[in-house]
Amino acid sequence: MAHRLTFLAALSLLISIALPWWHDAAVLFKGYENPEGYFVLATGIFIGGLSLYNILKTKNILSGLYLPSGVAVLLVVTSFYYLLKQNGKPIEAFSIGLYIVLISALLLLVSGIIALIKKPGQIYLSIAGSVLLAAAVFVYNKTMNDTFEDSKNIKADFETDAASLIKSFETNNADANKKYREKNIAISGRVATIEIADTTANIKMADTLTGSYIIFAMQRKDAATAKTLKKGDSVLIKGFCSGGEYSDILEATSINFQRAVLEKKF
Amino acid sequence: MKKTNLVVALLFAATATFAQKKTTTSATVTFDATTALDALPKAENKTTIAAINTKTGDVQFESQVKSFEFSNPKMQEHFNSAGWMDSDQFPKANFKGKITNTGNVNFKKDGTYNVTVEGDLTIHGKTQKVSAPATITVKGGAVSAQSTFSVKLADFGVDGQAVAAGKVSKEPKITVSADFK
Repeated sequence: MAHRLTFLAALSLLISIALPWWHDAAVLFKGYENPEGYFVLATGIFIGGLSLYNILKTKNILSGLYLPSGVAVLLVVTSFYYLLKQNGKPIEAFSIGLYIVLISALLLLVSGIIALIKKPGQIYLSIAGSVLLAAAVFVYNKTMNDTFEDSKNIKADFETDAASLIKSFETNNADANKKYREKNIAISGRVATIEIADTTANIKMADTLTGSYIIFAMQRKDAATAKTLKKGDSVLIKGFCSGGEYSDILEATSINFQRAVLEKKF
Repeated sequence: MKKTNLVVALLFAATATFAQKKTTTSATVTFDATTALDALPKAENKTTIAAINTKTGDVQFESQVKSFEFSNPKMQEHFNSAGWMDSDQFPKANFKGKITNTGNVNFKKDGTYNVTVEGDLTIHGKTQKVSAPATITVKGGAVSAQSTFSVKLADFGVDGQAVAAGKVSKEPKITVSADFK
């Protein structure tokens, strides 16, 4: 009974991803067009295969996983529903795929409970599955809510001076980009200008002969400190290099830094 | 004497031409591709190079794609990946165009002027014609400009899975803001 119900739920999950889940303006989005759809697909394949094996071989292998699978799908479908609701996207009759996912999740919960009643020893498997599920949710949330670490706390990959860095990019742009791009670099040099960029500030170090320059977009929390600097100040600034490119407008090389912090004022 | 006059005239002409071209290296470009399903695809580039010629109405922008900063590291990684902007392959996005109604702007008089900018926008190695409304503000001799417009990512060959999945807007809003010197 539990395996048959699970197999039915798995089939429903597989069908649901080919059906519409939500719409934005006039565009319909089917289940497989959402990352959540891939999770539903993977769950459907896994528990579908497992329950089919148990039916065909009259076994009761890993049936303790039915319940956590149901909980996982229920979590996914409800969080997806609230996300849509929060953003004023209505769940309407055509969200048939989403309704089917919900019904399948409830079916899985029922089959999971029946499976546990029939074989209580599988409760440990259910607990282990639930722990794994909680860990997966934790990792997902951490990734989605993650922010950049304060550059001040990150050790520099390179330390150099402004003139040498500019020269590197002017001499061989491709090699310099390969070496420095996306690396945390501490640069010493003199402040050429401080430019206000929206609510933050950019610090520039420049080669007055060629016009090439390094520009540091300061971390938002360090913008106030940056604004206190003056032209000619000797400083050490650390930040992530996003690369250097030749500017057709300025006819000089521009080397950009993100999330920069003032390390030292000499 | 005649030679001296010619040199002075040339110097004067060069200075005047230079003064007509105003630039900045700290223009801000925001990219807003948020959707009902995802508030993360939103970024800012505060080190965009921009230029405006107050006589001819020529307008130019150059942005390094890797300088777009997101709040979420994973989103920034996706934005630069081969599935989206492929910034290793196409490191710059740029615009080269003209104000179509430069005559409406008096760069010598304080005020806010509504203009239309038309030109070629290059993103992801593909160039498309765009036209956008813009505002030019003149205050105490300083010139600033702002424009907001939308682009269709598909027109620029950006059609990764995230776009198809509704996680990234198919028509992100781009805002350009520059204070020229």
